[in-house]
Amino acid sequence: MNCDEFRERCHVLIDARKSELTDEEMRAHAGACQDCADFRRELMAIDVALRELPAPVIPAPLLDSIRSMGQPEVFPPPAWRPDIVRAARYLIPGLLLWGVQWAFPEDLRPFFLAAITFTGGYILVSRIVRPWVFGSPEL
Amino acid sequence: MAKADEFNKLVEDYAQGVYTHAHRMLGSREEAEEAAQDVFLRIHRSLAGFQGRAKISTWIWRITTNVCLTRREVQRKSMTVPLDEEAAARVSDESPGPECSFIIREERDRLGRLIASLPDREAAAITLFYMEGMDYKEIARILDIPAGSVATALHRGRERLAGRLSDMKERP
Repeated sequence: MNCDEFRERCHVLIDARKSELTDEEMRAHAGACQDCADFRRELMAIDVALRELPAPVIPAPLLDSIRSMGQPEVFPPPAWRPDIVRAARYLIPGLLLWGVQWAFPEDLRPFFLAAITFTGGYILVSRIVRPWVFGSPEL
Repeated sequence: MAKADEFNKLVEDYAQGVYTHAHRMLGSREEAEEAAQDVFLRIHRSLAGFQGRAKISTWIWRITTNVCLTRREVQRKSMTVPLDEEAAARVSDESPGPECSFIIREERDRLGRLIASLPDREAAAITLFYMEGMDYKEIARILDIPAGSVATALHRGRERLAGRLSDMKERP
């Protein structure tokens, strides 16, 4: 066993919350290599210190402020259904854009229409259809 | 359960943990308070859309970690030091236990500050492993990295902390 292997196994033992060296090979290496023995001692010390580190207590005013977020008067439910608002957010600019085609010369209109149809279709599928079918990403 | 009741239950169950996590990741009380508020604001906004495909704890820890990482990025960009002497003193005040000697408290404060000074992934892995008692798999789901990378981050973080602590002790 070389030093790197020994050190890696020390970490694995600590992660598994084992404080003793579990195999003969490791014990032999720790006895033969002072650097690795010191390394293990330092790791064990930091592990104990991290486990014993006290959690800072959440200040009472902060807790009250967070609790108040749950009160309906702080964040009243929206007057309009969110899905209607969401649809309108896409629909209204879409209709306005559709109207812009009349400002184009007649021979350029198909290109403009193709561009906005492609863009609109992409937005429709990615923002509305896909989340509706597969659900919104939760993570 | 009504949305408001559900939110209130989450506050009771997770507020302390979210605050601790933010404090460890950000290294200052002010930052931790703002981050905790931000986290619960996001939870409040998104709770209605939560469909339960992930565990709610995973969802909350992921939001918390992302909020903290974003704030760390802002800290780095604005070149502010996360903890000044005054803030360090406040952290000491928060440590419970009059039984703790001054030296032990000092060491703990140092350690708390050192966690905040670790690279993002290492700080997050150390915090979730030690403060929340999570295993590799849970941390991997929260950080969206393979379990092997969690182990690496944890090991590097621990070695870095050990090295920095012994450096500090050796300094006169």
